[in-house]
Amino acid sequence: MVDSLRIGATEDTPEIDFDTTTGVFKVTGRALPENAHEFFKPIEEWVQSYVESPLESTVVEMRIDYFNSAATRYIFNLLMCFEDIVDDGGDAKVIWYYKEDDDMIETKGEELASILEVPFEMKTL
Amino acid sequence: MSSGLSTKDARVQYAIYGALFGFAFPVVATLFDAFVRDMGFGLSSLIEVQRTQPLHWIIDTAPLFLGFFACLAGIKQQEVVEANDGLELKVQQRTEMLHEQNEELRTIQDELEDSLHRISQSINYAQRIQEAIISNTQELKAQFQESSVMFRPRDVVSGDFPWYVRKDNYHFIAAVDCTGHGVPGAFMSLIGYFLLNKIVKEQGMLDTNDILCELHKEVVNVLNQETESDVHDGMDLALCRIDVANGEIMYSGAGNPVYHMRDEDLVEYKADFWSIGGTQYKKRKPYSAQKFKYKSGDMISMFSDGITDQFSADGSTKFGYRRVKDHLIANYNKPLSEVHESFEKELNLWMGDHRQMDDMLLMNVRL
Repeated sequence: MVDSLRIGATEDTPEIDFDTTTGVFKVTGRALPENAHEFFKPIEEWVQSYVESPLESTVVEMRIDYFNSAATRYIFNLLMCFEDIVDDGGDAKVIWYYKEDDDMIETKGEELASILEVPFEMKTL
Repeated sequence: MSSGLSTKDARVQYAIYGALFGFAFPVVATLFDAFVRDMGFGLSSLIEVQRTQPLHWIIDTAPLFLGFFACLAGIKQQEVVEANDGLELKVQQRTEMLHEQNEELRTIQDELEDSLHRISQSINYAQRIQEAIISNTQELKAQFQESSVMFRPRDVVSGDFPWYVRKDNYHFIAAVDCTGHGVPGAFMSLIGYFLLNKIVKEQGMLDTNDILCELHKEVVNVLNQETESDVHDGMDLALCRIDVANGEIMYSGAGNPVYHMRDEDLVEYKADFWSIGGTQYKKRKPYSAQKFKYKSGDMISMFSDGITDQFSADGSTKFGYRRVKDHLIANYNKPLSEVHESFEKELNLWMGDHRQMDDMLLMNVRL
């Protein structure tokens, strides 16, 4: 079992709270790091090692209110890692939260839902 | 050393003063007693007074006691003086330390200012190059007098860029938004700019969907993204091919839509989801194209998400698609220069003091 992953939020990066005792993985805040690679790469690596022996159920809660185009790609890549769990017959799902009046985040969620092969739920905040 | 001496000094000095002062008591008492008893002030009578009155024996100890207490007072006094000296020394040391730290900070500040200056100079110079390369909006203006480009880099150089090329009987116009902003954005913009030129001008590819497919292939190739690359960068864009002879527009989009306006009607043509370059989605499909007819006086509008994603002054809401559409519809009948101006005004008002989150690009063309 991998240890939980926690990274505090900054003005430009979201809070990461991947709790391996509950299987609830939260990403909360804004994502516009100057160096997206430096921020997301270790998280992606953590997820890659997690999906090798995941918990019985994994819920990824995305509460992001802004991400730039570079971060978008890293976030999509990150979520794609969870496809491995589903491919192996495991239980994983993504919940995408958006503010009712934020059509940008809503649209991004819809687009993601259409390409990700992980159960995907959209919820308003 | 000197403080040790002065400690002794104060003790001895206070003890002597105390003892001398104490000595006045037996002297006065003895003389007074001799006077009261009317014995005269000769030495023998004074001795007699001392010998016969035991009270004097007590009074005689006054120099001893007063000397002792004065000595204690001297020690106390010395302690206060020493403590003050110590404090002064500490203050002095601290002041020196602060002064040194101040100097250090000043050096660091100078270095930072110097670095910032160099970086700014370097980026400003890079901006000249970027501007020289991506100056084809004049060509666009020459072909379509009623056209406007709002180009607002977040940090001097930009990942957004407007693109225009004329090939055969077609005018190609694109609003391109590369991943990142600033320097990495500008690197990407040059890759995008030259690849688009190559694909359309040299390879002669004319269908917008083919152009986007080729552009994706080329970006993946240039950035070696075929293999498990760590570079996910690429671009989103809206690309229009205007066929003036037939009054027809062919559009393909990677992430970004195009708006077609006639009078107060706005039709949105949605883009394909797939961005150019980067992430290799399992489900990726070739880009599609949409064609639509236009009449003289119609308008098309393309933009980057830097505008729609911009936060309001209080950081609570984003500008969003709705405000872009509303503005274009409300100002449809005005000359494009006025539309441009009023749009900038509305955007500035919206942003207030909030920092600009990303590069911004808005291209309007009256057909």
